[in-house]
Amino acid sequence: MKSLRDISTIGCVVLLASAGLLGCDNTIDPFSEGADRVFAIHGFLDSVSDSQFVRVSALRPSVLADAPSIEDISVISVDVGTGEVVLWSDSLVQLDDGSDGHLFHSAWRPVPGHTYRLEVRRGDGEAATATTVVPVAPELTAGPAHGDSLVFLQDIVFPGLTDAPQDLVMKYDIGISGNPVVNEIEIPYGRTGNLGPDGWKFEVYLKRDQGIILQKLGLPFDYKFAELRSIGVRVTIPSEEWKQQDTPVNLENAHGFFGSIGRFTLYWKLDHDAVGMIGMVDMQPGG
Amino acid sequence: MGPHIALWERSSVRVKYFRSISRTTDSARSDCVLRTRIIIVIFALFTVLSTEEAHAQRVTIRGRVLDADTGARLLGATVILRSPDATQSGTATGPEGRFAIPGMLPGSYILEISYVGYYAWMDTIRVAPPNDWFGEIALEATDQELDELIVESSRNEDTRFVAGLETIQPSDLQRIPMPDVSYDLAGYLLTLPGFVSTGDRGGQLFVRGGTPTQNLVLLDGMVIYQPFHIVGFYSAFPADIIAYADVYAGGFSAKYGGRISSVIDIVTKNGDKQRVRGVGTVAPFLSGVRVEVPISKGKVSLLLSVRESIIERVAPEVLGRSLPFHFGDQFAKLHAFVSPTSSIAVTALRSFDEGNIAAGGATGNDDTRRSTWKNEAYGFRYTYMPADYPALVELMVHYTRLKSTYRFTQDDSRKSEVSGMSMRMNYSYLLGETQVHFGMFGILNRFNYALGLSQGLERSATSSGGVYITARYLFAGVFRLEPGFRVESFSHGINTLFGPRVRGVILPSGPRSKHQFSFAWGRYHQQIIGLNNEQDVSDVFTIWAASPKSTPVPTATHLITGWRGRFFPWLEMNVEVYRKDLDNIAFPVFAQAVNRLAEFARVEGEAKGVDFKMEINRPSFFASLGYSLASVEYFRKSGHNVSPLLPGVAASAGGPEQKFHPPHDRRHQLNAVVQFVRDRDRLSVRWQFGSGLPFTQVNGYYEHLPEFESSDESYRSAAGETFVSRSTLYGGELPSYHRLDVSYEREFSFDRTSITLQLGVINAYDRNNIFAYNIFSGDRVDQLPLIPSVGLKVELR
Repeated sequence: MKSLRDISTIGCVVLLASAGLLGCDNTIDPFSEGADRVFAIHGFLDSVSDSQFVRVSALRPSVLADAPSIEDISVISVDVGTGEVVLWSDSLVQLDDGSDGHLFHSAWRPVPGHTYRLEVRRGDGEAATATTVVPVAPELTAGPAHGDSLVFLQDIVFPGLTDAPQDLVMKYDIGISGNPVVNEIEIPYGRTGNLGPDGWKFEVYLKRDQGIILQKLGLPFDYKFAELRSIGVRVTIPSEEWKQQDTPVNLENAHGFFGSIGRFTLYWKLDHDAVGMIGMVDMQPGG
Repeated sequence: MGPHIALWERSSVRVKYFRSISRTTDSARSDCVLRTRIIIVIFALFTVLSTEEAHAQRVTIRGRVLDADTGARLLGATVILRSPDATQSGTATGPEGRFAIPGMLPGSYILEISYVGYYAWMDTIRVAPPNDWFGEIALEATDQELDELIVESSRNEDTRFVAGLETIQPSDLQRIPMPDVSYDLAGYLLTLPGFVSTGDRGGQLFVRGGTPTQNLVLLDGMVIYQPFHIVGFYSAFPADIIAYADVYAGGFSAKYGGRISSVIDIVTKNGDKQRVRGVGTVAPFLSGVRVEVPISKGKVSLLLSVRESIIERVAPEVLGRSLPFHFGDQFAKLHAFVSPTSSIAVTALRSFDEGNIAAGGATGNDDTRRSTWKNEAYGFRYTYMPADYPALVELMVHYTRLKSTYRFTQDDSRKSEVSGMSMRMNYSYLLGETQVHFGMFGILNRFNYALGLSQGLERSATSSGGVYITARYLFAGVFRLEPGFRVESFSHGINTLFGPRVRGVILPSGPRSKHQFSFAWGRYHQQIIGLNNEQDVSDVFTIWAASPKSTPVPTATHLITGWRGRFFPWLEMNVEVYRKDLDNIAFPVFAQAVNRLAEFARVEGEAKGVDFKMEINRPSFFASLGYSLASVEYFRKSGHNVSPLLPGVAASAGGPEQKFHPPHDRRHQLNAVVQFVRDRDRLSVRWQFGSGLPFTQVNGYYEHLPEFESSDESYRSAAGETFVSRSTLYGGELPSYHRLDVSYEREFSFDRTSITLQLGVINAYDRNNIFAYNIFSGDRVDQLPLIPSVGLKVELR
């Protein structure tokens, strides 16, 4: 039995010594140190809108938890070039699922080419930021119109533009003989075109558009006295951030998306003979 | 000279293998042995001196070593041939207990055979051309007391620790406390430096930076895809069927292929061919029965083992908590001597596991999860060793299958099945210290998997074949070099793979060197890949499939250097420095959306570290201390993620270049094992420490809106999808892990029967070691709590 007592003694010593380890820290902190500085931001600046909107929410601590209050935060935008600061206002909106969301808005119009930094700032000064450069207007080169009486086209090139414009809308100012009113006809083209050696290129379907214009104006398809006052395209140029909405790189301490768009209407002069080919009267300035 | 069979009289050569024990426990007997040896040496010397040296013809000394009682062939017995001029040659018995020492001059020699658990055997032999010498030596097993002493001292000293290789004997396993009266290989492996487990459930083992699917586990040559039970300190097969296991933490030879991290090559023992033996165990986790039956005495034996868990039934009442794990296994081996020079073995293993690895959280949010897997493995081996030629030929046919399912949610159930049929032929040419091993193999694999959520079943198959050759040379008795290479071709469009390997050992003072230096280098490929979600430890579901031809196969380059010092017969130290360079590893990438299947990216990796181990072996005391300092780092390059990994498995959409430490990167690991033995009592204590594993902290959750256009104002009111915001990839650290296990055993012997009573406690100070943390629910799952155990083993010897 002596051996048994020896072993028991040794065992007790080991157990007691090990018991000292009970005090070791054994907690887990699943949240990162700066977790409360992170926000979700969704929105963009629009160069032709007088009101800007961005949706902001704080991160929830668990999947099922409600979003924490963000009443103590402020949202500002800073023109990085000029230092001009705009304070955004919070508005509580009802989301599609019935919950509440915070939509911040401000009344101003961003300037193409300017860099803006959106700051979602807590009371303690910590902030999530998002930066965007508002795109500038592209140049436009109009090629000669070509085709026949059925399909008559004109190639338009945006030199230097390497990505598809987000939206293209053809704009025609049309007058009717004897009527001083100018009708602004818009024909959406959406995302169209392709990248050529000189830049982004798309085709204007002049003959087809003529038919649409007459239809919209309620004129017969063989009407010969529609006056083309101007021809142009409204193009929406997205900022770099739109290319990688799922993996944004312009956000710091933030998730979601923040970008900008520049909307521009660019005009050119359609060749006199081409106007005649589509059955209109050339009334363009200098025409 | 004809066959020479000699069983030394027990009274005259009760030579214990461990001489220091002999001196301390039975000095009179040792003196007797010493005198006997001197007489034999003098006799041999006289004999040799009187022999004419003019014989230019040389002979081979060959033989077979058997268990005197059972007739079992003893693999790994040490064979030493001493000549009168004090030079010696040596080898170890191979499969079937055979050995050969060629190129010996005619004359007389002293032949010594020793083996763990047996009395050593010695005799003087005389050889003369033209006949080779052949003998069948039967060793007599020691009694239980001596067996235990020998257990502590027995080592194949030359090869136990060599450049990533550790040879494990059953006696090693008995030192590790288990919640069971039986012992287990898995429990032992977790005490080795460089072997990391992410928890005590799930059966996942990471070896020196490698992942579980990069480990090759062989049981009698059969690939076992899921070698561990769901409670991680149990293997899918019982330990008491193991004859020995070669565990390569890296740098393995050309004999092995198809995995890039490690090899665990387990050889099972044969059943007793002389008499019926049986063991029955009852313990809370696993109870079982093992029976050995001589079907034809001395020729054919059958070994049967059945185990099944009962913990899921007893835990609620005994522990007051649920442990929903049900597992078990069945093993059978038929072994027969077909002729004096050949034998066959038929082996079968089946195992099953079922349970909820994520169970145990406070909220029970993961109660719907359920993992199941079933192993099946069947093997046939024919061994032939010509009587007049120093060679060994093996022919093996194997079929293995793993079926697994994982129910993640009620409507998301995933299935995977992998099966493999292989035929291998190994040829060994044994010239004593110089050996050549050559082999060829053909493998046919089939894969099926379905990823749930209405995804269809993916089926594929691949076949491969190849050859390997490895040689072993001994230069000047101090430098042993083992170069080799492996070539494998595939039907699946994968280029033919070439894997050069080399291993070496330097013994500055010859076989008795106190210091040993070793190294290993090799290039490894893994054409069959296993994808699992390593980011979720409770998700061990693995898809097995052939590596797509559009993606480079996972590749690793190992470099290991080691030193072993044996300062005293009872003190041994081992240090190894290693580095594994990993290429084209599939690693799961976090999906930002909650409850979305993991996507995979290809990464490169680097695992490096230092492993240290010290052992003290005394007759009544054993202590082992292992420490591992390791680092595993993965690199994810931009654009390295565009190739689809497998059909239906999403490839990561891309992202910036990243460096991170994967979740199995345990920086520090310490294992201490102490065992005290007094008479029939045995107290084993194990303490483990592991520094915290990396994990990725979160910032929180938010509603992510789908991509929108500038003309779309829906972003102002859309509800969105819940996304998780994560902090720096694997920038956090889980709490460290440490646990104390204690086991006490006492054996009661009655004639041919022994009864062992075991008392134990797992996690003795009830440490709440974290196993999993559900970042979505905040639910924490801990590893096993303090669990007392009582076990009973009844053995018919």
